[in-house]
Amino acid sequence: MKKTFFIFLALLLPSVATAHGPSPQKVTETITIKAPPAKVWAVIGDFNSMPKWHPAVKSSKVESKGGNTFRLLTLKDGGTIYERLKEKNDADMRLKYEIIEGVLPVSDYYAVLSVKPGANANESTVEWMGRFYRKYKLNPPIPAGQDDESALKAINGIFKPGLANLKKVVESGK
Amino acid sequence: MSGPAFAYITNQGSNSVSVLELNSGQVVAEIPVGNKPVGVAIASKAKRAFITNVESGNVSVISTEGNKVLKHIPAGTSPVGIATKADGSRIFVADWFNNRVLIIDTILGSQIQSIAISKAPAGLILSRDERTLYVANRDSNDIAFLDTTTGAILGRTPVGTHPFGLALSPDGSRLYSVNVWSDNVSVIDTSTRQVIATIKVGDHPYCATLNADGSRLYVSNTQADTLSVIDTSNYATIATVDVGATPEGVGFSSTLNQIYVASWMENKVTVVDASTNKVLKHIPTGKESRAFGSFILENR
Repeated sequence: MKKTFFIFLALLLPSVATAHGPSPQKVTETITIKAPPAKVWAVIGDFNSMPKWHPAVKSSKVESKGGNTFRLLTLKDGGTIYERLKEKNDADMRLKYEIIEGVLPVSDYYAVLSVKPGANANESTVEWMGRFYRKYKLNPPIPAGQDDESALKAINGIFKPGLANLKKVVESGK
Repeated sequence: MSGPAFAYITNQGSNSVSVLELNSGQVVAEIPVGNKPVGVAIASKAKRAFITNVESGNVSVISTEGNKVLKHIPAGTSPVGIATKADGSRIFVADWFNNRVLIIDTILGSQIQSIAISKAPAGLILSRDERTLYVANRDSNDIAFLDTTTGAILGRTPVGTHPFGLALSPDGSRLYSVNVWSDNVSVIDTSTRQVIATIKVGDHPYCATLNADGSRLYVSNTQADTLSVIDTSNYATIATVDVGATPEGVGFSSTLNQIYVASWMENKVTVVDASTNKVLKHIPTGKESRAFGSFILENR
């Protein structure tokens, strides 16, 4: 009886320990690039340009529907992400977009990618920030791979290598 | 001329509350609370601030005299929205996952009633006579009217999509529901419980507040990074102010005639002059500031 009870507790505890409420998650990543902001913006300001600088993106296809701009990203592992451009601001060098659907374990995902002048001349600071919830938004227990940690891991896994490669691409002048 | 005024800002990312002294614009305390604090309600005269900790399932009771947590009161699974009676004796808490509103006696530290409401209750606000609680039900797209004495649901009013924050006019006649997915605000006549107007605002609005005479409504637009200033006599937008990124909670100080907007993305509060609708300054806070609810303490 006692043993059964402890097994029951052991089964119960992990889900309680990882129970998360409806808190939005944040990932921000910045990188300094040795190039003027306009040159960086020329690369990332094009909503269709991700395959040129992001190592995980194989192809991008932009389409316009009902006054909105969307892109379908196909990743190198075959997964796809369908996104809507919310705003392109050339004066502030800023893109805002959201995920409509895709392979990432997130929901209500919204991101901003922007370029600002860096600390020194001919330097830029690129900032990429995302706000999102985990994929599973209902009551715990949360299915494996749909919790906050999985969501954060996925987005960190896109932002970090993405910006690192962007730096390489821009600084090598390709 | 101006008495003391403070803002109690919940910081989801640092599990704390930043206390801003508004005359000086200084942070005078950072109070550790529970996990992922979101909601805030202030009983100014009772010298209490109540904070919902969504991931620890409780409410932190803060003495605003010493800016210390006095105790934690259990509050369901996932408390988000919160409102308090003016004397601080009772609080109302939206238990998001359980689709319930909890009525809690703060002196005894125990739950008096648990009321099944609609899906994902979020913003709460009390009527001026404290007899009715207005509940924004985010996932059922309605506002519920709850009798605070009996716990009975008096009615439900359909609004825009994903109502989250609420604001009430100083005379209590108009309730404003901020609808996140439909990018608008529903104006409800509290006597008839009917929507009398719908105001278009910015991208993904979250919260709202009014100025001292109710002539201006301020709405945070989380994905436009702006604050909409609306004339409540004709529902016209008279200004759109750039504020800190991902603005969430909005508060108004009558003492200073200023608006305070919590920036979740930039970990700060943007201060806006209500006479000019210009940004005066930004005050750094803890991480991921939310300040969901009535977070201004002042004696008026």
